[in-house]
Amino acid sequence: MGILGGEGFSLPVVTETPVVEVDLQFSDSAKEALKSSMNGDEETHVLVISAQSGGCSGYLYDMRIIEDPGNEGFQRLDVDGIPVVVHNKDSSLLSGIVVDYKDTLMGGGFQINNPNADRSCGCGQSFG
Amino acid sequence: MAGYSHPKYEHVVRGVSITVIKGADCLRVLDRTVSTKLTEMVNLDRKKTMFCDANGRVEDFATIHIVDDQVLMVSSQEESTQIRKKLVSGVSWDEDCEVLDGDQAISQVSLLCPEPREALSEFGVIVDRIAEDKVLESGDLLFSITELSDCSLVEILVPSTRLENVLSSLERFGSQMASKNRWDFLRISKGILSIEDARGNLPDELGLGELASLDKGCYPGQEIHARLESRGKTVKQMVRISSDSKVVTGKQRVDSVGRINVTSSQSDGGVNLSLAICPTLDEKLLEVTLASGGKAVLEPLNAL
Repeated sequence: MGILGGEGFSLPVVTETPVVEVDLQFSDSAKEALKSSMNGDEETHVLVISAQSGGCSGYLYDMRIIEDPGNEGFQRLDVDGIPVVVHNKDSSLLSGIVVDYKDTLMGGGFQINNPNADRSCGCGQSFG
Repeated sequence: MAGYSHPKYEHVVRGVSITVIKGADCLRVLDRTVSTKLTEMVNLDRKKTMFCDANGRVEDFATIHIVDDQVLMVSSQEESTQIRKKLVSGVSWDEDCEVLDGDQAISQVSLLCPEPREALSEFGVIVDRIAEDKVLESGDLLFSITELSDCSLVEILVPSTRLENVLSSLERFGSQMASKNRWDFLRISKGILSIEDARGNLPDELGLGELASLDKGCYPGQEIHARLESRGKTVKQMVRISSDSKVVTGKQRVDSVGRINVTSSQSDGGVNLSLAICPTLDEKLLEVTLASGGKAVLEPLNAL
């Protein structure tokens, strides 16, 4: 029994962020790079694009190829046969982004241009 | 300046916002958003921190308590909606973190006192002191102490259902409940900032530079804080103003000082005190004439 341990001590959960229908754009180079990264696992794996707090501007992008988490809580898009998912909680932050791929030795890789961002960090990974 | 020394016991129910953050990733999520490193905190640790914007300016400040692997955050009421929204939207889809609104469930009582030991004993807590980076949990009460120059600030977090019991205990002990204005006067006299004093200013200007970590990595405002540390010089500072008449909040020009921004002002017992951001002073005490023609003394402040 402490200040947070009392029986029946339940607090209202702060509500989630608004959910919008996600629209993502991929450049041709990003599609090619994505196909290469998926390495034929499109049947079982998806690309998840997400955002979390952090970085100099408030939010950080994250892109991961993971086992298909199913549809619960996610919006699913088909990018030239590759499944891409965005969680509903990230939809308002990420809808409208354009994913590009730069094949350079320094500063290369996937890059995200977010028209909803008021600002972004020089490294390109943080936005706000 | 001795005119506002108040050695007696006075308490108030603070108008603060209480947020509980729970889940295995709660500390990591919070750490990504604030200016100080929190990830090494353990149960019953306490730490002050700030939420800053990308320009390094203070949006809110908060006190973080770790209780039973959960975060109990005390922050300003004014900014609570935005801060909670920021926290919720910053949780990654695969993280275990839930943000809860504790405003109705938990209250904070602040007690200014010359001797915290006696006050704590009223609640059955027998300790000589509590380190400033720790909290002491006794039953369903959470106690912490901040040492001020001439007294102590005891903060008690209490389930709101037990608030009346705590207030009764304090009054039985001889402490007086301060009115809102009286508390405002006391906090100005002790250099305890409100969000109105802090909002939009840089941490160094407020005397809160130590809450801006230079080695934890990126957080909103970190680039500016690091640049100020390496190249900058604080050009403004928080001062306490003792004046012969009440000072109106807002900006005004003061001869020999420049433009100042009075952020808080309160009078009590014929003493007028204010807090203001002003150009950095060389003097420890500076007598000036305000825009109103009134006389005042400016005193640089090490804020809390």
